[in-house]
Amino acid sequence: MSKADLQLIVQTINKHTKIPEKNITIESKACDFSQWDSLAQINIVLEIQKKTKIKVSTSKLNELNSVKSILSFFR
Amino acid sequence: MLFYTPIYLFLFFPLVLYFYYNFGSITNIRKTFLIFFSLIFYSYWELKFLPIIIFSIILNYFFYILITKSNLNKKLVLWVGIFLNLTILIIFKYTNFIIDNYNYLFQSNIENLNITFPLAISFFTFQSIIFLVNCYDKDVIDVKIIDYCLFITFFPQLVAGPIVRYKEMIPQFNNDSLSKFKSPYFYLGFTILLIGFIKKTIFADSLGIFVDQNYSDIENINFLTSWVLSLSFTFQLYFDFSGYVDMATGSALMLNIKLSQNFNSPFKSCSIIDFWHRWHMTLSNFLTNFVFTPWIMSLRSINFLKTMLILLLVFILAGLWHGPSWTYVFFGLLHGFGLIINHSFRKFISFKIHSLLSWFITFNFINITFLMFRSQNISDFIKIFKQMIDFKYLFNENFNISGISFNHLFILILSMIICFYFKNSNYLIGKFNRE
Repeated sequence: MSKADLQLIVQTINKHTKIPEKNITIESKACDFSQWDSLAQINIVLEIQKKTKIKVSTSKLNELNSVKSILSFFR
Repeated sequence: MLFYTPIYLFLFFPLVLYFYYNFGSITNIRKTFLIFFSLIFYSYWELKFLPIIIFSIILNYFFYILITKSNLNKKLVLWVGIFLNLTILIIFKYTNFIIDNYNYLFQSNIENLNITFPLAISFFTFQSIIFLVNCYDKDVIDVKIIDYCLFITFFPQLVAGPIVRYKEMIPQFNNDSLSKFKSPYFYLGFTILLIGFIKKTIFADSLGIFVDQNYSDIENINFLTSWVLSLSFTFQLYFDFSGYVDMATGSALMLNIKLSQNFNSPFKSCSIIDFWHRWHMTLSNFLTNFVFTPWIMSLRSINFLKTMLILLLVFILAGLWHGPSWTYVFFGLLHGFGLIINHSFRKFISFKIHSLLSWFITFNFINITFLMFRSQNISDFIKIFKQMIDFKYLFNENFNISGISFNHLFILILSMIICFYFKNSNYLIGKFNRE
Protein backbone atom coordinates (compact mmCIF):
# COMPACT_ATOMS: atom_id res chain seq x y z
CA MET A 1 0.00 0.00 0.00
CA SER A 2 1.23 3.51 -0.83
CA LYS A 3 1.17 6.88 0.88
CA ALA A 4 -2.27 7.36 -0.63
CA ASP A 5 -3.46 4.19 1.10
CA LEU A 6 -2.12 5.40 4.44
CA GLN A 7 -3.94 8.68 3.86
CA LEU A 8 -7.16 6.77 3.13
CA ILE A 9 -6.84 4.91 6.43
CA VAL A 10 -6.08 8.10 8.36
CA GLN A 11 -9.08 9.88 6.83
CA THR A 12 -11.35 6.92 7.58
CA ILE A 13 -10.21 6.78 11.19
CA ASN A 14 -10.73 10.53 11.49
CA LYS A 15 -14.22 10.25 10.03
CA HIS A 16 -15.39 7.60 12.52
CA THR A 17 -13.55 8.74 15.65
CA LYS A 18 -13.10 12.51 15.19
CA ILE A 19 -9.43 12.07 16.10
CA PRO A 20 -7.57 14.85 14.26
CA GLU A 21 -5.68 13.53 11.25
CA LYS A 22 -2.43 15.06 12.44
CA ASN A 23 -2.63 12.86 15.58
CA ILE A 24 -2.94 9.64 13.57
CA THR A 25 0.34 8.13 12.44
CA ILE A 26 1.49 4.78 11.17
CA GLU A 27 2.27 3.83 14.78
CA SER A 28 -1.21 4.67 16.08
CA LYS A 29 -3.27 1.98 17.77
CA ALA A 30 -6.88 1.85 19.00
CA CYS A 31 -5.73 1.65 22.62
CA ASP A 32 -4.04 5.07 22.22
CA PHE A 33 -7.38 6.84 21.77
CA SER A 34 -10.57 6.56 23.83
CA GLN A 35 -12.62 7.56 20.77
CA TRP A 36 -11.39 4.52 18.79
CA ASP A 37 -13.75 2.05 20.46
CA SER A 38 -15.24 -1.20 19.18
CA LEU A 39 -18.04 0.62 17.37
CA ALA A 40 -15.60 2.90 15.58
CA GLN A 41 -13.45 -0.17 14.84
CA ILE A 42 -16.29 -1.87 12.96
CA ASN A 43 -17.12 1.29 11.00
CA ILE A 44 -13.48 1.95 10.08
CA VAL A 45 -12.79 -1.57 8.81
CA LEU A 46 -16.12 -1.85 6.97
CA GLU A 47 -15.54 1.44 5.18
CA ILE A 48 -12.03 0.44 4.09
CA GLN A 49 -13.40 -2.96 3.04
CA LYS A 50 -15.98 -1.18 0.87
CA LYS A 51 -13.41 1.09 -0.75
CA THR A 52 -10.79 -1.61 -1.37
CA LYS A 53 -13.27 -4.42 -2.09
CA ILE A 54 -11.16 -6.76 0.08
CA LYS A 55 -13.38 -8.77 2.43
CA VAL A 56 -12.59 -8.99 6.15
CA SER A 57 -13.77 -11.97 8.18
CA THR A 58 -15.63 -11.36 11.41
CA SER A 59 -12.85 -12.85 13.51
CA LYS A 60 -10.19 -10.73 11.78
CA LEU A 61 -12.08 -7.45 12.06
CA ASN A 62 -11.26 -6.72 15.69
CA GLU A 63 -7.61 -7.66 15.18
CA LEU A 64 -7.19 -4.74 12.77
CA ASN A 65 -6.95 -2.30 15.64
CA SER A 66 -3.91 -0.33 14.59
CA VAL A 67 -2.91 1.63 11.49
CA LYS A 68 -0.09 -0.85 10.81
CA SER A 69 -2.33 -3.92 11.03
CA ILE A 70 -4.92 -2.33 8.72
CA LEU A 71 -2.18 -1.38 6.22
CA SER A 72 -0.63 -4.83 6.17
CA PHE A 73 -3.99 -6.62 5.87
CA PHE A 74 -5.13 -4.53 2.94
CA ARG A 75 -1.71 -4.62 1.21
CA MET B 1 -11.93 -25.51 46.64
CA LEU B 2 -11.31 -21.78 46.71
CA PHE B 3 -7.96 -20.08 46.18
CA TYR B 4 -7.98 -18.41 49.58
CA THR B 5 -8.73 -21.54 51.62
CA PRO B 6 -6.08 -23.39 53.64
CA ILE B 7 -6.59 -26.60 51.66
CA TYR B 8 -5.67 -24.80 48.43
CA LEU B 9 -2.82 -22.71 49.82
CA PHE B 10 -1.16 -25.33 52.02
CA LEU B 11 -1.98 -28.65 50.37
CA PHE B 12 -3.35 -28.60 46.85
CA PHE B 13 -1.23 -25.86 45.25
CA PRO B 14 2.08 -26.87 46.90
CA LEU B 15 1.44 -30.40 45.58
CA VAL B 16 0.81 -29.02 42.10
CA LEU B 17 4.03 -27.01 42.23
CA TYR B 18 5.99 -30.01 43.50
CA PHE B 19 4.83 -32.34 40.74
CA TYR B 20 5.03 -29.65 38.03
CA TYR B 21 8.64 -28.71 38.69
CA ASN B 22 9.97 -32.13 39.71
CA PHE B 23 8.26 -34.42 37.24
CA GLY B 24 7.02 -32.07 34.54
CA SER B 25 10.04 -31.88 32.28
CA ILE B 26 8.32 -34.10 29.69
CA THR B 27 5.53 -32.13 28.02
CA ASN B 28 2.78 -34.73 28.04
CA ILE B 29 3.49 -35.76 31.61
CA ARG B 30 3.37 -32.14 32.69
CA LYS B 31 0.05 -31.62 30.91
CA THR B 32 -1.38 -34.84 32.35
CA PHE B 33 -0.47 -33.73 35.88
CA LEU B 34 -2.17 -30.40 35.34
CA ILE B 35 -5.32 -32.01 33.95
CA PHE B 36 -5.40 -34.49 36.82
CA PHE B 37 -5.03 -31.77 39.46
CA SER B 38 -7.50 -29.52 37.64
CA LEU B 39 -10.14 -32.24 37.68
CA ILE B 40 -9.52 -32.78 41.40
CA PHE B 41 -9.88 -29.01 41.90
CA TYR B 42 -13.18 -29.04 40.02
CA SER B 43 -14.51 -32.21 41.69
CA TYR B 44 -13.76 -30.87 45.15
CA TRP B 45 -16.78 -28.57 44.78
CA GLU B 46 -19.14 -31.35 43.82
CA LEU B 47 -18.10 -34.66 42.34
CA LYS B 48 -21.39 -35.07 40.49
CA PHE B 49 -20.48 -32.14 38.21
CA LEU B 50 -17.38 -33.88 36.89
CA PRO B 51 -19.19 -35.91 34.18
CA ILE B 52 -20.69 -32.68 32.81
CA ILE B 53 -17.38 -30.97 32.16
CA ILE B 54 -15.94 -34.20 30.74
CA PHE B 55 -18.97 -34.55 28.47
CA SER B 56 -18.51 -30.93 27.33
CA ILE B 57 -14.85 -31.58 26.51
CA ILE B 58 -15.63 -34.72 24.51
CA LEU B 59 -18.54 -33.07 22.70
CA ASN B 60 -16.56 -30.01 21.66
CA TYR B 61 -13.51 -32.01 20.61
CA PHE B 62 -15.83 -34.10 18.47
CA PHE B 63 -17.13 -30.90 16.86
CA TYR B 64 -13.54 -29.75 16.31
CA ILE B 65 -12.92 -32.97 14.32
CA LEU B 66 -16.11 -32.46 12.34
CA ILE B 67 -15.25 -28.84 11.52
CA THR B 68 -11.62 -29.38 10.60
CA LYS B 69 -11.43 -32.90 9.23
CA SER B 70 -14.81 -33.90 7.84
CA ASN B 71 -16.49 -33.03 4.55
CA LEU B 72 -19.62 -31.79 6.26
CA ASN B 73 -20.82 -28.20 5.87
CA LYS B 74 -18.48 -26.49 8.33
CA LYS B 75 -20.71 -23.53 9.01
CA LEU B 76 -23.65 -25.80 9.80
CA VAL B 77 -21.50 -27.94 12.10
CA LEU B 78 -20.26 -24.81 13.87
CA TRP B 79 -23.81 -23.57 14.45
CA VAL B 80 -24.92 -26.99 15.71
CA GLY B 81 -21.94 -27.01 18.08
CA ILE B 82 -22.74 -23.53 19.40
CA PHE B 83 -26.41 -24.46 19.72
CA LEU B 84 -25.63 -27.60 21.73
CA ASN B 85 -23.26 -25.73 24.05
CA LEU B 86 -25.86 -23.05 24.71
CA THR B 87 -28.58 -25.66 25.18
CA ILE B 88 -26.54 -27.39 27.89
CA LEU B 89 -25.96 -24.02 29.56
CA ILE B 90 -29.65 -23.10 29.36
CA ILE B 91 -30.81 -26.47 30.71
CA PHE B 92 -28.58 -26.32 33.75
CA LYS B 93 -28.66 -22.62 34.48
CA TYR B 94 -31.99 -21.27 33.25
CA THR B 95 -34.59 -24.06 33.38
CA ASN B 96 -36.10 -22.99 36.69
CA PHE B 97 -36.02 -19.33 35.63
CA ILE B 98 -37.93 -20.24 32.46
CA ILE B 99 -40.44 -22.36 34.44
CA ASP B 100 -41.04 -19.58 37.00
CA ASN B 101 -41.67 -17.01 34.30
CA TYR B 102 -43.88 -19.37 32.31
CA ASN B 103 -45.94 -20.06 35.45
CA TYR B 104 -46.25 -16.33 36.08
CA LEU B 105 -47.25 -15.48 32.53
CA PHE B 106 -49.68 -18.34 31.96
CA GLN B 107 -50.87 -18.81 35.56
CA SER B 108 -49.74 -22.42 35.44
CA ASN B 109 -48.21 -24.53 38.17
CA ILE B 110 -45.31 -26.41 36.66
CA GLU B 111 -42.94 -27.59 39.36
CA ASN B 112 -39.37 -26.46 39.40
CA LEU B 113 -36.84 -29.11 38.48
CA ASN B 114 -34.22 -29.95 41.03
CA ILE B 115 -31.29 -28.86 38.88
CA THR B 116 -28.22 -27.29 40.45
CA PHE B 117 -26.05 -25.71 37.88
CA PRO B 118 -22.52 -27.03 37.56
CA LEU B 119 -19.73 -24.82 38.72
CA ALA B 120 -18.04 -22.76 35.99
CA ILE B 121 -20.48 -23.85 33.29
CA SER B 122 -20.88 -20.26 32.04
CA PHE B 123 -17.12 -19.91 31.64
CA PHE B 124 -16.27 -23.21 30.01
CA THR B 125 -19.27 -22.91 27.70
CA PHE B 126 -18.03 -19.56 26.39
CA GLN B 127 -14.50 -20.85 26.12
CA SER B 128 -15.74 -23.85 24.13
CA ILE B 129 -17.69 -21.59 21.76
CA ILE B 130 -14.62 -19.39 21.20
CA PHE B 131 -12.62 -22.54 20.45
CA LEU B 132 -15.12 -23.81 17.86
CA VAL B 133 -15.26 -20.40 16.11
CA ASN B 134 -11.45 -20.24 16.06
CA CYS B 135 -11.38 -23.74 14.52
CA TYR B 136 -13.88 -22.69 11.87
CA ASP B 137 -11.78 -19.59 11.08
CA LYS B 138 -8.66 -21.80 10.90
CA ASP B 139 -7.05 -19.76 13.68
CA VAL B 140 -6.60 -23.01 15.55
CA ILE B 141 -5.41 -26.19 13.81
CA ASP B 142 -3.99 -29.59 14.81
CA VAL B 143 -5.42 -29.74 18.30
CA LYS B 144 -4.58 -32.77 20.41
CA ILE B 145 -7.20 -34.00 22.90
CA ILE B 146 -4.77 -33.58 25.78
CA ASP B 147 -4.25 -29.93 24.85
CA TYR B 148 -7.96 -29.25 24.52
CA CYS B 149 -8.63 -30.94 27.85
CA LEU B 150 -6.00 -28.78 29.52
CA PHE B 151 -7.34 -25.64 27.84
CA ILE B 152 -10.79 -26.18 29.34
CA THR B 153 -9.86 -27.56 32.76
CA PHE B 154 -6.74 -25.57 33.72
CA PHE B 155 -7.69 -24.85 37.30
CA PRO B 156 -6.54 -21.22 37.78
CA GLN B 157 -8.98 -19.94 35.15
CA LEU B 158 -11.63 -22.66 35.29
CA VAL B 159 -14.04 -21.29 37.90
CA ALA B 160 -14.22 -17.53 37.33
CA GLY B 161 -12.10 -16.78 34.28
CA PRO B 162 -10.42 -14.94 32.72
CA ILE B 163 -11.98 -16.35 29.54
CA VAL B 164 -8.95 -17.32 27.48
CA ARG B 165 -8.36 -18.28 23.85
CA TYR B 166 -6.76 -21.55 22.90
CA LYS B 167 -3.85 -20.00 21.02
CA GLU B 168 -3.05 -17.68 23.94
CA MET B 169 -2.76 -20.51 26.42
CA ILE B 170 -1.68 -23.82 24.91
CA PRO B 171 1.55 -22.69 23.18
CA GLN B 172 2.77 -21.76 26.66
CA PHE B 173 2.28 -25.34 27.86
CA ASN B 174 4.14 -26.63 24.81
CA ASN B 175 7.15 -24.49 25.62
CA ASP B 176 9.39 -26.85 27.57
CA SER B 177 11.58 -24.06 28.90
CA LEU B 178 8.60 -22.86 30.91
CA SER B 179 8.53 -26.09 32.87
CA LYS B 180 11.71 -25.03 34.60
CA PHE B 181 11.49 -23.01 37.76
CA LYS B 182 11.99 -19.33 37.01
CA SER B 183 12.27 -17.24 40.12
CA PRO B 184 11.08 -13.92 38.57
CA TYR B 185 7.81 -15.54 37.40
CA PHE B 186 7.43 -17.42 40.65
CA TYR B 187 7.90 -14.43 42.94
CA LEU B 188 5.79 -12.16 40.76
CA GLY B 189 3.06 -14.80 40.76
CA PHE B 190 3.31 -15.15 44.51
CA THR B 191 3.00 -11.37 44.92
CA ILE B 192 -0.10 -11.22 42.72
CA LEU B 193 -1.59 -14.21 44.59
CA LEU B 194 -0.96 -12.43 47.87
CA ILE B 195 -2.53 -9.20 46.58
CA GLY B 196 -5.60 -11.19 45.55
CA PHE B 197 -5.74 -12.92 48.90
CA ILE B 198 -5.69 -9.58 50.73
CA LYS B 199 -8.31 -8.10 48.41
CA LYS B 200 -10.63 -11.03 49.08
CA THR B 201 -10.11 -11.86 52.76
CA ILE B 202 -9.54 -8.40 54.17
CA PHE B 203 -11.39 -5.96 51.94
CA ALA B 204 -14.19 -7.94 50.29
CA ASP B 205 -15.10 -10.00 53.36
CA SER B 206 -15.00 -6.99 55.72
CA LEU B 207 -17.16 -4.87 53.45
CA GLY B 208 -19.48 -7.86 53.04
CA ILE B 209 -20.38 -7.91 56.74
CA PHE B 210 -22.01 -4.45 56.54
CA VAL B 211 -23.64 -5.32 53.21
CA ASP B 212 -25.19 -8.54 54.56
CA GLN B 213 -26.43 -6.86 57.75
CA ASN B 214 -28.15 -4.04 55.91
CA TYR B 215 -29.56 -6.17 53.12
CA SER B 216 -31.30 -8.26 55.78
CA ASP B 217 -32.91 -5.07 57.12
CA ILE B 218 -33.66 -3.05 53.98
CA GLU B 219 -36.87 -1.54 55.40
CA ASN B 220 -34.88 0.36 58.03
CA ILE B 221 -32.09 1.84 55.97
CA ASN B 222 -31.91 5.60 55.52
CA PHE B 223 -30.20 7.95 53.08
CA LEU B 224 -26.81 7.60 54.72
CA THR B 225 -26.82 3.84 55.23
CA SER B 226 -28.11 3.33 51.69
CA TRP B 227 -25.11 5.18 50.24
CA VAL B 228 -22.66 3.38 52.52
CA LEU B 229 -24.38 0.10 51.62
CA SER B 230 -24.20 0.79 47.89
CA LEU B 231 -20.56 1.88 47.99
CA SER B 232 -19.64 -1.02 50.24
CA PHE B 233 -21.17 -3.52 47.87
CA THR B 234 -19.55 -1.90 44.82
CA PHE B 235 -16.10 -2.27 46.36
CA GLN B 236 -16.89 -5.69 47.83
CA LEU B 237 -17.85 -6.94 44.38
CA TYR B 238 -14.69 -5.51 42.81
CA PHE B 239 -12.33 -6.82 45.49
CA ASP B 240 -14.04 -10.21 45.52
CA PHE B 241 -13.97 -10.73 41.76
CA SER B 242 -10.65 -9.06 40.96
CA GLY B 243 -9.11 -10.62 44.06
CA TYR B 244 -10.14 -14.05 42.84
CA VAL B 245 -8.77 -13.29 39.38
CA ASP B 246 -5.50 -12.07 40.91
CA MET B 247 -5.19 -15.34 42.79
CA ALA B 248 -5.88 -17.20 39.53
CA THR B 249 -3.34 -15.09 37.62
CA GLY B 250 -0.78 -15.40 40.41
CA SER B 251 -1.19 -19.18 40.63
CA ALA B 252 -0.77 -19.49 36.85
CA LEU B 253 2.32 -17.26 36.89
CA MET B 254 3.87 -19.45 39.56
CA LEU B 255 3.59 -22.20 36.92
CA ASN B 256 5.09 -19.82 34.30
CA ILE B 257 1.74 -19.41 32.55
CA LYS B 258 0.38 -15.96 31.70
CA LEU B 259 -3.37 -15.47 31.65
CA SER B 260 -5.23 -12.56 30.07
CA GLN B 261 -5.86 -9.42 32.04
CA ASN B 262 -9.42 -9.09 33.33
CA PHE B 263 -9.51 -5.81 35.27
CA ASN B 264 -7.77 -2.51 34.73
CA SER B 265 -8.78 -0.07 37.49
CA PRO B 266 -12.44 0.03 36.39
CA PHE B 267 -13.41 2.68 38.94
CA LYS B 268 -11.11 5.17 37.28
CA SER B 269 -13.31 5.06 34.16
CA CYS B 270 -14.58 8.36 32.81
CA SER B 271 -17.32 6.85 30.65
CA ILE B 272 -19.40 3.67 30.45
CA ILE B 273 -17.56 2.76 27.24
CA ASP B 274 -14.29 3.08 29.12
CA PHE B 275 -15.70 1.06 32.04
CA TRP B 276 -16.42 -1.95 29.84
CA HIS B 277 -12.83 -1.77 28.54
CA ARG B 278 -11.65 -2.10 32.15
CA TRP B 279 -14.20 -4.38 33.90
CA HIS B 280 -14.32 -8.13 33.17
CA MET B 281 -12.33 -7.42 30.02
CA THR B 282 -12.32 -10.98 28.70
CA LEU B 283 -16.14 -11.05 28.83
CA SER B 284 -16.29 -7.71 26.96
CA ASN B 285 -13.89 -9.10 24.35
CA PHE B 286 -16.03 -12.22 23.96
CA LEU B 287 -19.21 -10.18 23.55
CA THR B 288 -17.55 -7.79 21.09
CA ASN B 289 -15.80 -10.42 18.96
CA PHE B 290 -18.31 -13.26 19.04
CA VAL B 291 -21.72 -11.67 19.51
CA PHE B 292 -21.80 -7.93 18.69
CA THR B 293 -19.48 -7.83 15.67
CA PRO B 294 -20.87 -10.94 13.88
CA TRP B 295 -24.40 -9.66 14.48
CA ILE B 296 -23.55 -6.24 12.98
CA MET B 297 -21.71 -7.84 10.06
CA SER B 298 -24.75 -10.02 9.30
CA LEU B 299 -26.89 -6.95 8.56
CA ARG B 300 -27.41 -5.88 4.97
CA SER B 301 -26.91 -2.27 5.87
CA ILE B 302 -25.54 -0.74 9.02
CA ASN B 303 -26.61 2.50 10.61
CA PHE B 304 -26.23 4.02 14.04
CA LEU B 305 -29.75 3.13 15.19
CA LYS B 306 -29.41 -0.55 14.28
CA THR B 307 -25.99 -0.69 15.94
CA MET B 308 -27.38 0.76 19.14
CA LEU B 309 -30.32 -1.65 19.17
CA ILE B 310 -27.98 -4.61 18.78
CA LEU B 311 -25.75 -3.19 21.52
CA LEU B 312 -28.75 -3.04 23.85
CA LEU B 313 -29.74 -6.64 23.07
CA VAL B 314 -26.15 -7.85 23.56
CA PHE B 315 -26.03 -6.23 26.98
CA ILE B 316 -29.37 -7.72 27.99
CA LEU B 317 -27.86 -11.12 27.11
CA ALA B 318 -24.70 -10.20 29.01
CA GLY B 319 -26.82 -9.37 32.05
CA LEU B 320 -28.68 -12.67 31.80
CA TRP B 321 -25.38 -14.58 31.48
CA HIS B 322 -24.50 -13.44 34.99
CA GLY B 323 -27.44 -15.32 36.46
CA PRO B 324 -31.05 -16.51 36.04
CA SER B 325 -32.76 -13.48 37.54
CA TRP B 326 -34.53 -10.36 36.32
CA THR B 327 -32.15 -8.24 38.40
CA TYR B 328 -29.29 -9.31 36.13
CA VAL B 329 -31.37 -8.65 33.03
CA PHE B 330 -32.18 -5.19 34.38
CA PHE B 331 -28.47 -4.63 35.04
CA GLY B 332 -27.72 -5.47 31.41
CA LEU B 333 -30.56 -3.24 30.22
CA LEU B 334 -29.34 -0.26 32.26
CA HIS B 335 -25.78 -0.66 31.01
CA GLY B 336 -27.03 -1.08 27.46
CA PHE B 337 -28.86 2.24 27.77
CA GLY B 338 -25.82 3.82 29.40
CA LEU B 339 -23.69 2.77 26.44
CA ILE B 340 -26.25 4.09 23.96
CA ILE B 341 -26.26 7.47 25.69
CA ASN B 342 -22.45 7.47 25.77
CA HIS B 343 -22.10 6.58 22.06
CA SER B 344 -24.80 9.09 21.09
CA PHE B 345 -23.03 11.79 23.04
CA ARG B 346 -19.77 11.00 21.25
CA LYS B 347 -21.42 11.00 17.84
CA PHE B 348 -23.77 13.98 18.03
CA ILE B 349 -22.47 16.33 20.68
CA SER B 350 -19.20 18.14 20.16
CA PHE B 351 -18.56 19.73 23.58
CA LYS B 352 -16.56 17.79 26.14
CA ILE B 353 -17.50 17.40 29.79
CA HIS B 354 -14.77 17.98 32.35
CA SER B 355 -13.10 14.65 33.13
CA LEU B 356 -13.85 14.93 36.87
CA LEU B 357 -17.56 15.36 36.16
CA SER B 358 -17.46 12.48 33.64
CA TRP B 359 -15.78 10.28 36.23
CA PHE B 360 -18.31 11.28 38.91
CA ILE B 361 -21.30 10.47 36.68
CA THR B 362 -19.74 7.19 35.50
CA PHE B 363 -18.78 5.98 38.95
CA ASN B 364 -22.20 6.71 40.42
CA PHE B 365 -23.94 5.00 37.53
CA ILE B 366 -21.82 1.90 38.15
CA ASN B 367 -22.28 2.16 41.92
CA ILE B 368 -26.07 2.27 41.64
CA THR B 369 -26.45 -0.39 38.94
CA PHE B 370 -24.17 -2.81 40.81
CA LEU B 371 -26.91 -3.09 43.45
CA MET B 372 -28.63 -5.39 40.95
CA PHE B 373 -26.01 -8.03 41.68
CA ARG B 374 -26.90 -8.11 45.33
CA SER B 375 -30.63 -7.34 45.42
CA GLN B 376 -32.92 -10.37 45.56
CA ASN B 377 -35.43 -8.64 43.32
CA ILE B 378 -36.08 -5.33 41.60
CA SER B 379 -38.29 -4.04 44.43
CA ASP B 380 -35.35 -4.33 46.89
CA PHE B 381 -33.24 -2.33 44.47
CA ILE B 382 -35.95 0.32 44.21
CA LYS B 383 -36.23 0.55 48.02
CA ILE B 384 -32.50 1.19 48.35
CA PHE B 385 -32.42 3.59 45.40
CA LYS B 386 -35.32 5.62 46.86
CA GLN B 387 -33.34 6.07 50.06
CA MET B 388 -30.26 7.07 48.07
CA ILE B 389 -32.12 9.95 46.44
CA ASP B 390 -33.86 11.07 49.65
CA PHE B 391 -31.53 14.06 50.07
CA LYS B 392 -33.86 15.81 52.51
CA TYR B 393 -32.76 13.24 55.11
CA LEU B 394 -29.62 15.36 55.49
CA PHE B 395 -31.80 18.05 57.06
CA ASN B 396 -33.95 15.66 59.04
CA GLU B 397 -33.90 16.10 62.84
CA ASN B 398 -33.54 12.30 63.15
CA PHE B 399 -30.36 12.29 61.11
CA ASN B 400 -27.80 9.99 62.69
CA ILE B 401 -24.85 7.86 61.71
CA SER B 402 -25.18 5.32 64.49
CA GLY B 403 -25.71 2.45 62.06
CA ILE B 404 -22.21 2.84 60.61
CA SER B 405 -19.16 1.83 62.60
CA PHE B 406 -15.83 3.62 62.43
CA ASN B 407 -14.09 0.37 61.41
CA HIS B 408 -16.39 -0.08 58.47
CA LEU B 409 -15.98 3.52 57.33
CA PHE B 410 -12.23 3.12 57.60
CA ILE B 411 -12.22 0.02 55.34
CA LEU B 412 -14.56 1.74 52.88
CA ILE B 413 -12.47 4.89 52.63
CA LEU B 414 -9.29 2.83 52.31
CA SER B 415 -10.96 0.84 49.50
CA MET B 416 -11.78 4.06 47.67
CA ILE B 417 -8.26 5.40 48.03
CA ILE B 418 -6.78 2.16 46.69
CA CYS B 419 -9.16 1.98 43.74
CA PHE B 420 -9.13 5.66 42.79
CA TYR B 421 -5.47 6.52 43.26
CA PHE B 422 -3.23 3.49 43.23
CA LYS B 423 -2.01 1.40 40.30
CA ASN B 424 -3.54 -2.05 39.98
CA SER B 425 -1.85 -5.44 40.19
CA ASN B 426 -1.54 -5.66 36.41
CA TYR B 427 0.94 -2.79 36.57
CA LEU B 428 3.35 -5.26 38.19
CA ILE B 429 2.88 -7.71 35.33
CA GLY B 430 3.31 -4.96 32.74
CA LYS B 431 6.47 -3.76 34.46
CA PHE B 432 7.77 -7.34 34.58
CA ASN B 433 7.08 -7.81 30.87
CA ARG B 434 8.91 -4.59 29.99
CA GLU B 435 11.94 -5.58 32.07
